[in-house]
Amino acid sequence: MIRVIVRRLLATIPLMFLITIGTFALAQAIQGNPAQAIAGDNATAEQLAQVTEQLHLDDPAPVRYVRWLSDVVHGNLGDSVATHRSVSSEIARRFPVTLSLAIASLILMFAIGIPLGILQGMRPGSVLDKFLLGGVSFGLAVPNFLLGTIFVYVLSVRNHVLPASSYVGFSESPVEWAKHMLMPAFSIALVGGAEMARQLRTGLVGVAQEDYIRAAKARGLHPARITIKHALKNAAMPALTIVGVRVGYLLAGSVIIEQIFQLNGLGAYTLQAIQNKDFIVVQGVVLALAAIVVLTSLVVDIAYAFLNPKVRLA
Amino acid sequence: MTSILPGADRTASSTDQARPLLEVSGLSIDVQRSGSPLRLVSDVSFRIDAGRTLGIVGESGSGKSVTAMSLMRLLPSALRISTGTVSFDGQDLAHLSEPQLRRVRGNDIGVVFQDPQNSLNPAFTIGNQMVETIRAHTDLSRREARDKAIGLLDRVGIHRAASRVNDYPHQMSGGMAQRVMIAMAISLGPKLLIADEPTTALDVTVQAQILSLLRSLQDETGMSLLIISHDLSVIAETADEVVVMYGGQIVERGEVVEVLTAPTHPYTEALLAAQPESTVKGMPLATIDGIVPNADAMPAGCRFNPRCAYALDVCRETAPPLVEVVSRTTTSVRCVRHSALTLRGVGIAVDASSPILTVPKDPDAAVLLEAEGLSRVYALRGGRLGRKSSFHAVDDASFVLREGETLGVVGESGAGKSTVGRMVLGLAPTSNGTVRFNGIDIATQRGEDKRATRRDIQVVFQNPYASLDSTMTIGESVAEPLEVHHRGTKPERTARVAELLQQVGLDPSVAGRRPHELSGGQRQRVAIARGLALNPKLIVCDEPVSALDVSTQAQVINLLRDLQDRFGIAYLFVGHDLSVVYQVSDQIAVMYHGRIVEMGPADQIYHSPKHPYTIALLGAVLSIDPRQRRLSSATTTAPGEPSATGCAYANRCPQVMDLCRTVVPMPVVVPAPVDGGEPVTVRCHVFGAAVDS
Repeated sequence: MIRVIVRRLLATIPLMFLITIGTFALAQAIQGNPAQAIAGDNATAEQLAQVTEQLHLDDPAPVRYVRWLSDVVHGNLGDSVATHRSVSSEIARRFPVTLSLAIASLILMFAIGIPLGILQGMRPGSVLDKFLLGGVSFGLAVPNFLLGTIFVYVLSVRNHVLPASSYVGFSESPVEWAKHMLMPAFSIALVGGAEMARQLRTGLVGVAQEDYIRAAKARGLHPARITIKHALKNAAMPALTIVGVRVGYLLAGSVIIEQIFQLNGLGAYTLQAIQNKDFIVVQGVVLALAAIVVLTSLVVDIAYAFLNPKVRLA
Repeated sequence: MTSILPGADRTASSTDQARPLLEVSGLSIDVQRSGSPLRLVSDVSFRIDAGRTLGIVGESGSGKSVTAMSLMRLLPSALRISTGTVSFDGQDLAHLSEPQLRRVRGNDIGVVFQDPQNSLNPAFTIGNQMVETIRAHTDLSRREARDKAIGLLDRVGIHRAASRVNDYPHQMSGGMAQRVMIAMAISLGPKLLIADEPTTALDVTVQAQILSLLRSLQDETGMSLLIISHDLSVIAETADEVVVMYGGQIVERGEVVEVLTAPTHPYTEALLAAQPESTVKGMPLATIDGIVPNADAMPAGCRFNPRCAYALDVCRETAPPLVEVVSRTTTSVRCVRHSALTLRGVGIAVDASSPILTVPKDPDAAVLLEAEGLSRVYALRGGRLGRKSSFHAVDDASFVLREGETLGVVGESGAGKSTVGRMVLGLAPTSNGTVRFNGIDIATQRGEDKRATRRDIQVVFQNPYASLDSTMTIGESVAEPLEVHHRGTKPERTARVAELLQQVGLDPSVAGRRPHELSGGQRQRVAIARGLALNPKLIVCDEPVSALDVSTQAQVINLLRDLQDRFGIAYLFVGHDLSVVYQVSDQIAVMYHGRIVEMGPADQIYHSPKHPYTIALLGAVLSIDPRQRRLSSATTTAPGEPSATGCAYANRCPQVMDLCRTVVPMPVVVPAPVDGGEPVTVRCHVFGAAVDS
């Protein structure tokens, strides 16, 4: 098990390296002339030359990449072109908001997906299964911004049940944190939860046909035990894949949801940076988000090894 | 000695041995479907007395497994018991509530399934699954249950049980996994053990071990046994009584010696005759024409009548009842003509002690295929600290195949026999050695020469369900090699497909159908037709009959031999069943753990084996005569693992010497006996001093 973790961890190093190249190249593509972006649209030729020289922008791209990479390795993502603030510290300040949203969404995703999937998978074809199948299809179809907007209108504007905006740190007040997180997190989690329920249902229906389920029944085990222990662990694999894939969507979704609920997270920061053509910020945020996705895949991989002893050999 | 098996003290206390433990009467099983339900099993009745063994035998589709699974209500949800009772120890299992039934399952009745590796949950250790089962029915603590599990694993012959208990199912071989399944099934001292095709997925030698183990456990605990098998020899070796099923009905039932030595139903006779052991080599095997009927298309009258050699008009009109045979003590039969027929049983067909040496086809035939020092080595990662090691799937195999002859390659799974076939086909690269076809090293061929060789060497695979593309019609599949090699115009190809289908005994009209519309035997015929399409000189047959029923198996073997006679095709016939391989082969190579341990004329290998492994392989062939059983319950421990140094067989060999454990034996030619025959090559230190220095 430990060997698996170490090996997967080592495998992320070349991956992260490739991501830095991709990110750097992407940022180069955003802006034709970075000096223009930094100095502003009304800058004179002189000012442009000055900026170019200061930031060594006329160096060849590989040289600039190596310089940037060595900064990144030292934790310095550069300063924002627009605000001149350190991108690293800005990300560090906003990260808890996005992380809160991501974690709350993941928890809700499991809370929606697992019970619905089990309820459906235990008795496929039943009335309950068909009813939930409809619900799941609905969940998959609704765009999160629409859901978020409806929530805000119904629960905050009309009924004042939940706060419509802003963020309260978990350490300040867990209850307030949860209240503020519930609507945005649910808006993001619904699609993932629905997809998870569907995968889990399919997985359970498939596993129910396996010889070892019949064998467990033949040994006189309780049906609940057969489902929860024997079937679920084997059916969880495809559902887990969804989690891995969903984290990427989750972060992408947060860009819009943070806007709707006025949360000052990485999503809002990214949107701002794009509007400002602030390529240094975009570069930094994309790198940070990519790192999060890579880390999640790592966790999912390790969870695979836990669920399936055969993966431990690979 | 106290036994770890809870049932052990039950033998002494059960005074009345003739008491029925299980009595099934009038059992019918329906499959629910839109419209009217369809009857899969109708009116089945039998009983098992305490301590006795009942065998149920029949081809696939006969309803035998469905019947067995219905006893504990383990049927898929679409299947229902519609009528009948299953009385077990004073309770009717067909009408118990689920919670009541759970106390019977695993506790009073244990089940062993066909596919042991899939019957264990891959996500949990075997210890975990055993402990869970024990604790579901007792108040033992986790630790006590674990100790009990280790004791049980030890009892079923698993070495180092205390550490193997932590293994996952994928870390075990099929034989090991079946031992674990048996340990689990007997863990609570059941009164009845149901074994559904317990050895079908296993190698011949492993089959013998598992059946011996079951017998020894039965002797020890006095439990009853219900064995379901498509293989009559499994029943002949184990059962006291036998039930023969066909088309969802019992066609014959009675004491096993009575039924098998003098069957009263034509189907029982046909099943016995189709066994390869029943035929003198060189004669065509007896077959049962036609196929098992589907439940929705049962023939009128007797269900066996379309395939029966003795059918009269009355058989086609009235459905016969199951009646007791007047002249017998135990037999019942479902055949109106039974008193008028004299049917052949076992013991009449063949006398194995006096081999008829088949005439070598043509001693001067040209060498077609020659393999020299063939090896396939896989590098293995793993071991502690990532040390590199290698695995020899095939190690230094040399053989010669002449035109129009058959070389049989036989061995257990993992012996490397299929890899040899794949290397000959060029589907697997060789690590060492050469394959020469018509005298030319195939590895050196390029372009058109290579394509020509590929045309001349074709293949038939084991599983006709997987080797035909389900989206293509039969005609498209058979025509594909012609298209790939640009043979003929489209109408010419269509005509050739029709011709080929006829040659393999199929109606040309099947060309328009798809694989799922055909039976297994028909599909294998299609695969053979595809292999024939390019008029090859050699066909590699990789276990071509292993997935088929005995009756169909005989048809395919006859077809292969007939095609060889007509077209002079050579076969490299890979198989695990020595009696099947013997029937088709001129020469046999016996493989063990990557090496050819014995090779020579088929009759020599089959009738006077030299290598200890060949002797063991032949000894593991079951008898189809219940009066001459070959199995003993004496040895029940699992055999040793293949040895890493010296002779791979050293850990299992009864004649092992010190030399065997250190030095790899080289092939030695053992001269022919004085009364004729040909020399054989053996890799064994017992036969000479030639060693690999």
